[in-house]
This record gives sequence, structure tokens and C-alpha cells, in this order.
Amino acid sequence: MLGIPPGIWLTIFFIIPLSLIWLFSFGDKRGLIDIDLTWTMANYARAMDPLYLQIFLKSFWFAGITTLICLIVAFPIAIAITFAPSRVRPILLLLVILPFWTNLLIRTYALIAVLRTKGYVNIGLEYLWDGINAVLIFFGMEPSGLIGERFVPAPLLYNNFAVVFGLVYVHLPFMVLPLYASLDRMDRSYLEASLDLGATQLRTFVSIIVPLAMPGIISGIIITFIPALGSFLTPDLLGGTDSQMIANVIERQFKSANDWPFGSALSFILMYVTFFVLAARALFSKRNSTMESG
Amino acid sequence: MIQAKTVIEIRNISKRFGNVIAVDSNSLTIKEGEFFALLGPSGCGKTTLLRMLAGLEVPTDGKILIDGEDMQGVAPNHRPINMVFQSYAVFPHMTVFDNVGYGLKVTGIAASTIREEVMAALEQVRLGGYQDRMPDQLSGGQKQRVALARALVKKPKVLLLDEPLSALDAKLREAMQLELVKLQNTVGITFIIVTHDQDEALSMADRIAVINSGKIEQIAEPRTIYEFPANRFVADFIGKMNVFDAKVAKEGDRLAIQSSEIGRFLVSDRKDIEPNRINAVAIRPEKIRLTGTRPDDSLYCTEAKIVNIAYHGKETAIFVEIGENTEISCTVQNSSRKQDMPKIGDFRWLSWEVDDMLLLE
Amino acid sequence: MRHLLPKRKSIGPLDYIHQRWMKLTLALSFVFLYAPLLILVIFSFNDSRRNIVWRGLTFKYYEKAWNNDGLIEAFANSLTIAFFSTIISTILGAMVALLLWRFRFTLKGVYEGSMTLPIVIPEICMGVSMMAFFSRVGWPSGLIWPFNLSAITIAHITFCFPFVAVIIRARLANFNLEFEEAAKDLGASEWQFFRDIMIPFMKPGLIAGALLAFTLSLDDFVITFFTSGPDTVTLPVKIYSMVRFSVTPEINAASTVLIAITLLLTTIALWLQSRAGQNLGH
Repeated sequence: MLGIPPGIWLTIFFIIPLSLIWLFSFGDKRGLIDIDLTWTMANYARAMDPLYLQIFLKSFWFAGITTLICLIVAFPIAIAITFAPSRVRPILLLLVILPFWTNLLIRTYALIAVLRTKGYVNIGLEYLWDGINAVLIFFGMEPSGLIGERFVPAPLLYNNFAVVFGLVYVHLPFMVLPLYASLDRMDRSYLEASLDLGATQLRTFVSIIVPLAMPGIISGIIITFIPALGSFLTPDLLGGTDSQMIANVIERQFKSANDWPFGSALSFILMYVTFFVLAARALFSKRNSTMESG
Repeated sequence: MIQAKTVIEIRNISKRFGNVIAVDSNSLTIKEGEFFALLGPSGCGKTTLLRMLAGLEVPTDGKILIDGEDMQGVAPNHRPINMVFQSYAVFPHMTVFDNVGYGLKVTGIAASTIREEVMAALEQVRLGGYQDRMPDQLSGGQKQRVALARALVKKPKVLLLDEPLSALDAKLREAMQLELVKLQNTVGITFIIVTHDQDEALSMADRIAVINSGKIEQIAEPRTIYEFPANRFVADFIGKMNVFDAKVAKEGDRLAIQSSEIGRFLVSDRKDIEPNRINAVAIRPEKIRLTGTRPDDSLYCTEAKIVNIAYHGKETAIFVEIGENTEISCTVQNSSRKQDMPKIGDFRWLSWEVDDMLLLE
Repeated sequence: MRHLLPKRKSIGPLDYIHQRWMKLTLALSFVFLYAPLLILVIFSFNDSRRNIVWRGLTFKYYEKAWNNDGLIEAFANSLTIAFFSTIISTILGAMVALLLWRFRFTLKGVYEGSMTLPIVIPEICMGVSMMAFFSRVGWPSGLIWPFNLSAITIAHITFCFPFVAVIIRARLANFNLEFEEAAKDLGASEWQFFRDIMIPFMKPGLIAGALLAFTLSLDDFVITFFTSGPDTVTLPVKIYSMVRFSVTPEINAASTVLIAITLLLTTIALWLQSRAGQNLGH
């Protein structure tokens, strides 16, 4: 009884729409909105076209590098929070969570103001350049040979750098939280035992913290990688023409290009990848838990 | 003693969870005003038995009669029984007053009556003045009193208590034991308590049922349970015991005991014993005496070597060896500072009254 | 002579947070996370069109945003959608949570799994499937307000209620089953137990879930982007179109308002949850 209304809702407004685009992905585009269900594989074949394959690879590359950077940056944060005094810990945790709750669009927009040609980073750099220039002139040197004739703003926006920067900015909390959760569960005496037995801090980190935090690391990687892979807004607003990701291609198929069958096929490829990653993780955690109990 | 009325009658009750038999065909009667304990190791089925009385579990087989009335199909909210839960289950979002009054409110009793009864119940458990507190402002002991008051205010025929003292620390537990007994005397309601703590059962209950693997092993008064355990399980479970394999045979008006460990001796015949079913004899550590000189012949007596000593403050446990590798533990009360203490390796005479021995099936 | 000893704060081996490099990392990370947002907020009060140099405090961009009919309409739409999404997804989420917590049934795994699908699938996929669905079933468009927002609201409910279910279920996991037995033992009927014990116990979860649903709905861009039409613009969609056009302090002002609302709601939700965590009452 209790399960029926939500079940019906999910079926009508989620399962059916998904099934619809699943069907579309095997369809043929006829005219502006007509789609013939011909069970063709052409849409999937087209996704393997080097042009789109390259975009897929680029998306994986962006998501992968984002995940890696997040992991490297998040680990010290998570350790610091875990071992912070209990009074400070909730505050630090809140500071990590809060941006997470701030609108994605607004966070991305905030980055534009920071990164653009006349943004704060470049203003800072220009200020620095002026300073160095003045110092060099003061010492009677010819500045142009060393740092250039004129300040050239660094190209920080509308390129691949901006997209990865934005993705890291947006997804960092996703990585910190699972890492923190697994570190927090860890018994401190393991670390104390390691130090007591003569291991260095670095050795303790490598041999004790990392293996014990592995479930958290894997969760963190997955919950960072999946949304990063499907990102639409970040590459759309921060990327240049050559930094488009899958989601941008999908959007184009549904909005401007109006090729729904192809867009549907791309969507389903993205979903299959997502499910594959999740399934691999489920398998891994199952193997892990049997290893522990066995 | 006036024969009190039976308030609970359990007939051949069983409970199976899948293939596991939690309660295995037990029968039991409990009298009005009795303080009854269900005692056993964890997982023995005592809590399941209690929950069946409360109606929280449905028996697979058998009958429960409360005041002569069959309880089959009677929901927990319609039984003249109330329960104090192990976690106390004091509703966290209600004040002490609302908690205690809840059982009256749901049955549609007038607010003024509720107020009177709740206040009286709180006085009874010595929580007068606490009615407006929230549960998270109470200590464990106070929460338990709330749970008690909440059940007592319903004026049940029987009050069930599921491990009521297990969450309290040792000092408080002892104080609560006395208080529960006092409370039971005042209200005169039948109390059935489930516990795994033998001290608790022995000190509080009028009668105890010792349960093992779903079966009641013995029902008796505390002293009988301790001094005359019905079988090896009860003997082993309650208190400490030195058990020896032995054979028993009738010899005139006495019983001859033959044990490879402690030798041969005679004890008085006991009418409730079938000699050929006995396969062990036992003696409690505190019934054993250790002396420097040989005691008189009426006692069982042998020479023993002290192998280990564990000092416990009010008493000392002394482990001795007799014959070849037969270890016996004895308890000596430390009743005087001047008391002579044997050392490891010393020899002493070990003795006990032969009729203090238990014959076990 | 103790006071003559140098005051040295010794650092324990596990006091990582007191080590200098760790403090630096933390500080840099928080600068990275917060500086862009702080700059955005600060420059919404800047008396200059060119968002770069501070020229003095002003509220004129808030006034401008207030007088921008398109922006206000979008904001009203966002609030309306969030309001209805919150109510319906809280009810649906509570039902799912109670069902999964209380009962065992065949295909429970399938039911549970499909309830988490809207959480895990990429937003873009959900967005385009909703777009395709509403266009194919011929969902009426151009209805009178607020019915013109129904498609967006439905899409929002679909991705909100599984989150609500997760929150409420987490709350229910702390429910002491003896509360139910105690209530029944004291004479409460099923309904009295549900009303007197269950609902009050779930309340913090219901409120936290509702606040979460409200924030998710208010914040969503991607899915709304695919289900909104020219006359059903929400605040994030409106800001998006403004951002594409140019970067102006007016956007900063609108963004600041949205940030403030979200932060307020989140703080309330977190506060409620921590308070609820404190009095589980075992």
C-alpha cells in the first residue's frame, strides 16, 4: 500500500521517460520531430565516429584528472578534519559542506569572474608584473628582455584548464566527505601502534592510513568521477570550443541540432558507463567484505 | 502460608523461529503477588518467554492463561500485563509526565484522573517533581523509574521486567535490586523479571526458573536452586562448583560414592535420588575447609597441595591439587586480619561435610 | 621557577592539524573554495559596473534586480516550484522510507534499487528524458500560472523524493523498536502509535528532508533547463541566460540572494539534524 504511490510516480515520470529515450536511441530521425523506431544501430555507430570518440575520451580525461586532483587535495583536508579537536571538527566539516549546497551555476559563475582576462587572478598577476617591472627599472635593467614588453594576461578562461579547474572546484567536497567518513571510523590506535613500532609519519600514511581508508578512497573516486563525467554546466560556461564534454554534445542534439535519436544514444552510453562504474564498485566492495569476514 | 491464587498459567508453550527452537514446550504457574525470575544464559529463550506473556511474540504451540483467561489472539494492548523494556523505551519526545500518562491517555481516561494517577506513580518510584523533565535530562536510573511508573500506573495484574538492571552500573544496580523488591511489596503486583545475572535472581526473587536452550531446568526458591540444583546445568550455572565424575550405589541405609578423583565414601540416602542415574558429585568451594590439622572422621578429608591463590578482598580463592591432577577450588572468607594464609606449595587438610555434597544426574 | 621555562606548545604525533604544512593546506583549500564566492557576494555591493575594482558600497544592483520583471518572475516561479515539489516529495519520500524500513517483500531489492536510480544517473540524461517525455505525451503547455510550471515541478519531484527517502530512512534507522512495543504494551492501537510516537519521531527527518527537497529544487539548473519553456523560466535558468549574455553586478545580486536562501535553509536542516541526533533517547 505504502509503496504504490511512489512506485507509480517513479514508473510514470522516470522509468517511462528513460525507456522513451532508450527507444529513441534505436530510431531514425524523420523530419523535424518525427522519429521512426527502426531498431537501427546507426546512432550508436555514429557515437564511435572519431569526432565523438574524441569527445568521450576527453570527458574521461577531464573527469579522471579532476578525480585525481580532488583526491590529492582532499586527503590532507580529510586528515586534518579527522584529527582536529572535537570542538573545531564540526565547523571544518560545515565549511567543506557549505559550498556543496551552494548553487552549481552560481559557483561556476563565480569562477568566471575570477578567471577571465580582466578577472582577479589576472589583475593580481598584472600587479605583480608591474612591481617586478618597477624593480627591474630601478636597478637599471631592461625589463623587456626578462619578462616581456607588456603584461600579457594569462589565458585562464574558455579552455581546458578552466574546465578542469571548475570541475575540481565543484567536486572537491564530494571527495572530502567519504574520505573523512572512513578516516573517522578508523581506530586511532592503529596509527599509534605504527608510530610506536618505529614507522615514520610518511610510512604510517602509506602502509596504514591509505589501505585502511581504501573503501573511502574508492567511494570518493566514484562519487567524484561519475558526476564529473556527466558535467554539463562547467564545460558549457568555462570551456572553449575544444573543451566540450559528452553532456554538451547531448544537449546540442536535443536543443539546437534537434537530433534526438543520436542524443538518446549518447545519453545511454553515458548511463551505461555510469552503471558499469557503479557495478564494478559494488563487486569490489562485496569481494572486500567477504575477504574481511573470511 | 496461605495458598495464593494462580495469576499466570503457562501450558506446554513453544516458540520456533524458522528452524530454531527458542522456547521448547515449557509449563509454569506463577502466583499472585509473587516476585518471579526467569534466569538463564543469553539466548536461552527467557526473553522470548517474557515477550510471549506480553503478547509481543505469538507462541507456536501451547497456551497462556492470565487469571484463568486464555490469551490466545489477545493483542498486547488488551492484556492486563505491562512491561519495563530493557532499553526502558522512554519516549524521547515526551515529558516524564506524558510518558507516564501515555498508557492512560490512549485508553481514554479523563485528564484529571490521569494527573492524579501519574503524580502518585511518580511519588511511588521517588520521582516526585520530575514530571516536566524531558528524557534526555534524566540519568539511566531515573529513566528506569519512569519506565516503571509508566507500567505501574496501568495497574497491571503482572509487571514484566526485561533485564531491567543490565544497563545500570554496579553500585546503582545493587540499590535498585533492593528498591524493586520494596516496590513490589508495596504495590503487591506480580513481578516477572528476566535476567542473566544469578545474584540478581537469587537476591530478589521469591522463585526462580532456570532456563537453558529453551527448556526450564528447575523451578524453585533461590535457596533450593543454590543448595539443591536439580541437575548439572543448574549446578554449573549458579555459583561455582567442583564437579567430579562418580558412581553411586545403595549400601544399607546409606549411599556409597565411588570416584576416581576423590575416592570412596558414604553419604546419607536421599529419597529423591535414583542411584543408577547419578554420574557426578559436586561440592561448592565455600563449603570446603582447609586446616593445618586433620579434622575428625565424620567429614570427608584428604591432604591437598596449594597450587594457586587469588585474593579477592572479602574472600580468597585457593586452588589445591589432590591425588593426581585433580584440582579443586576452595573459597576462604577473610573474616580476620590475623587469619593464617597458606602459601603456594604448602600442604593442608581439605575437608567437607559429606552431606553437603551434591549428587548430579 | 616554572614561569622561566620557555612556553612551547608541543605537538602530539596525531595532532596533524597543528602542523604548519597542514594548516597551510587547509587554509589554501578554504581560500580556493570560498574566495570566488566571497568575491561574488562582495562585488554585488560594489558601486561600479565593471566588476573589478571596489568603488564603494551600494545597493543599487539589488534595486535593479528587484525592478527586473523577468528576474522577479523567475524567482517567483522558482519558489512556487520548490514549494509544491517539497510537499509532494516529502510525502512520497516518507512513504518510501517507511516501506523500506518496516516491511520485507518480494522484489524489495528491485524497488529499493530503482528508488536510488534518480540519485545516481547523470543529470543530463534525466533532463533530456524528461524533455522527450513531456513533448511526446503532449503535456499541455501555456496553461495559466501556476499550472504552466507542472512539468518542471514533476521533474523536480522525481529527483527530490529519493533524496528525501534517504534522509528519513536514516532517521528511522535510529528508531528503537522497543518504542513501538512499549506503546502497544501501554494500550496504544496501531493508529495511536503512529500518531503519538512514529510521526513525532520522524519529524526532524521530515523537516530535514523537506528542506533538502526545497534546496535541491530551488538550485536545480540542468534538469530545469530541459523542461522549461520561454514562459516558465526559473531563477537559475534566468541567471544562466544572463551569464551567457554578460557578467554584471546584477547577476551577483541575484546570486547572492539565492546563496543566502540556500545557506539559511541548509543551516536550519543541519541544526535540526544535529539536535535530533542528540536526543535519540535510548
